[in-house]
Amino acid sequence: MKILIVDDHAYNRELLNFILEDEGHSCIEAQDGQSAITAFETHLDVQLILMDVNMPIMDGIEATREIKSRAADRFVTVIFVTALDNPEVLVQCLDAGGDDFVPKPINESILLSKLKAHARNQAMYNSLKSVNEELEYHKRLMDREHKIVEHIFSSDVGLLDTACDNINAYTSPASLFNGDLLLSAPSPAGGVYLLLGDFTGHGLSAAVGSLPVSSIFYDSAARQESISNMARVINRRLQKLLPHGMFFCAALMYLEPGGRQVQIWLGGINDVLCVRPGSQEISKISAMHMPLGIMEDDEFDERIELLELPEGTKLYAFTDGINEAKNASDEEFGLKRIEDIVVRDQNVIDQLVTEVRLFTQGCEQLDDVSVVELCCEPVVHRHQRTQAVVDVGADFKSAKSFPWQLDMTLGDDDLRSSDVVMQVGKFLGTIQGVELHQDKIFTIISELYSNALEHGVLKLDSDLKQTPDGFDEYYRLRAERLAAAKGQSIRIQMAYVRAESDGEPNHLRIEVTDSGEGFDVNRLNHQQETNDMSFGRGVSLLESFCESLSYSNGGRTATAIYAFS
Amino acid sequence: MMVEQAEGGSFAIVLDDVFDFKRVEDFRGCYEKIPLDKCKGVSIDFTHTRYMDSSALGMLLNVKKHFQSASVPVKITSVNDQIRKILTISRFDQRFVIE
Repeated sequence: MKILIVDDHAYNRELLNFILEDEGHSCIEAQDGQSAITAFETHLDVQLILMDVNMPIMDGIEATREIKSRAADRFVTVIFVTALDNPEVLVQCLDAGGDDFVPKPINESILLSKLKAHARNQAMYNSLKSVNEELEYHKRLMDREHKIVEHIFSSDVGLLDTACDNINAYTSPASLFNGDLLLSAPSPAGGVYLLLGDFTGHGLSAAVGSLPVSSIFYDSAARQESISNMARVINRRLQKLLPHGMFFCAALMYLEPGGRQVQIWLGGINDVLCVRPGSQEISKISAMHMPLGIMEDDEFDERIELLELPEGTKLYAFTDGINEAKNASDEEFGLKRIEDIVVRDQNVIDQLVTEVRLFTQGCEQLDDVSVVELCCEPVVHRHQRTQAVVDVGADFKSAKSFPWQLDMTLGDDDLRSSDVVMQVGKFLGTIQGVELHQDKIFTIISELYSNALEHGVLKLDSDLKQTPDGFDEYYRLRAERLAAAKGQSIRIQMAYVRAESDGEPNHLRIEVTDSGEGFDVNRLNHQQETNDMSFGRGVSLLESFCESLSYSNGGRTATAIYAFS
Repeated sequence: MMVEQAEGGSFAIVLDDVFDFKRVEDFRGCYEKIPLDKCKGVSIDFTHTRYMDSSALGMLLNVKKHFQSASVPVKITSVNDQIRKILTISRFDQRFVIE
């Protein structure tokens, strides 16, 4: 160890020097405080200083104060060599930054033991310092990587040049790295798509899934695809991509241009709160599905709910960062507080965010806070920069096509392909004049097709799905019967029917016929009625999207008429 | 966390006070030591558990998948209201028998 000996008496310095060099330390000397400072600054390897108190020019206490203040991240131990008879002096020594004392006159064995003890501290300090440096390095590396990822994410999310007046949202800046995702996009028909979701897990790993999700979202929205199709595609991608046990809780919504109809698909997320104008009551829309990324594609349930709401109704979706935010006494913010704010306040989003902040004050900040409000009013899109209102639905309203017909018969192997409906949907999406209506047309075809396949061809009873065991059983039977299907078929016929006079809407006729045994049409109608009652607010999708829907051929053929209006 | 064997070849995994992502290894250790060939049914016992987070949901999926290959049914027992709510929100009641 390199030791600096500071004493104005040459005899004392020589004595210490003699003892220490004998022990294998190397020593340098200074005869007053001032020259001690100079020596400390010239010899960067000095690790320990033996300091006399009373010296001319500058005393030991002053010199220690100066040295400690200049030491920065150099670790130096200062041991005062003094008679231990004046407590006041000892206090001053420690206040100035002294670490220890050895009594005068010098006792060799005490001095050497003290040096050993301080050498141990020194070693500990050094190892701590190198670990710290490593940590610092990794932190810088991580910050840099976060910045890069943030840049990529924000470029991906900032692709749109319009914003929608019907949506008010808050998502905390750091939430991305907790796996929250909030997206909205205009639909070609003039409506607006909305997605709020939350990946399980924490940190960057939870966030990576948001890239494929956002790209699917924007692509589907630009093509006016249905919410159910969007949910299915996201589920399929995430199911392949995410490690088992990780998934994405999400709310997908679509508000029609008129602002009165909302399509909604909820998987594993908090209830969506619904407040009608002038009402103090909240109705809740609960998740009907498991989160995205869990189900195999052929057991995925893409059914959406369709809500018809009075103008001025507001819908609220939020991630669990809000209700699970904790205060200093480990109490959760809870759903009750959220519901109170939702019915009470005009400015729900701001108020909610403020109250969560106040509530969690003094605790570790829980940053994954995302909440969105959807106002059911005629949808208005604005240009982000100029704030001018944009009619994104101009092309949609003037959609026209030539009179075409499409007829396909799907055999056993086609029925076994899980994405046959998706292919038909994509096919329609390429026909000009039809592409902007493909969300609804797709929903109609996929509902009719599932009915034809599962109940017609495979003769499955949907009552089975009511229980968890039955659910597994349903899909086991479905796979088994599908694999064994022989000589079965589903025929899909579509025709574009041009209106007879101007001003009337054009139509699409869809007929789906299966090779099954048919069913009692009256029984189906009855089932739909009871279903609607049990959910209270749902409107049958097919009936709502179609101008008319009828069954014939002993229940084997379903005919739907869709109006392009 | 521990595994209890009941009569008739059914097993119970009894969880601790908290069931969250820190228990991943522990939990897997528990269900992997249950012999698949001798097992008739598994229950995940929440009697002592007052808190669970969303990564725990992932663990439940894993355990279900693990036993599904051998057609062993997995059920969830004795959950408190809070946990039942989490299971319901994420629609785990569709895939699990909850008693």
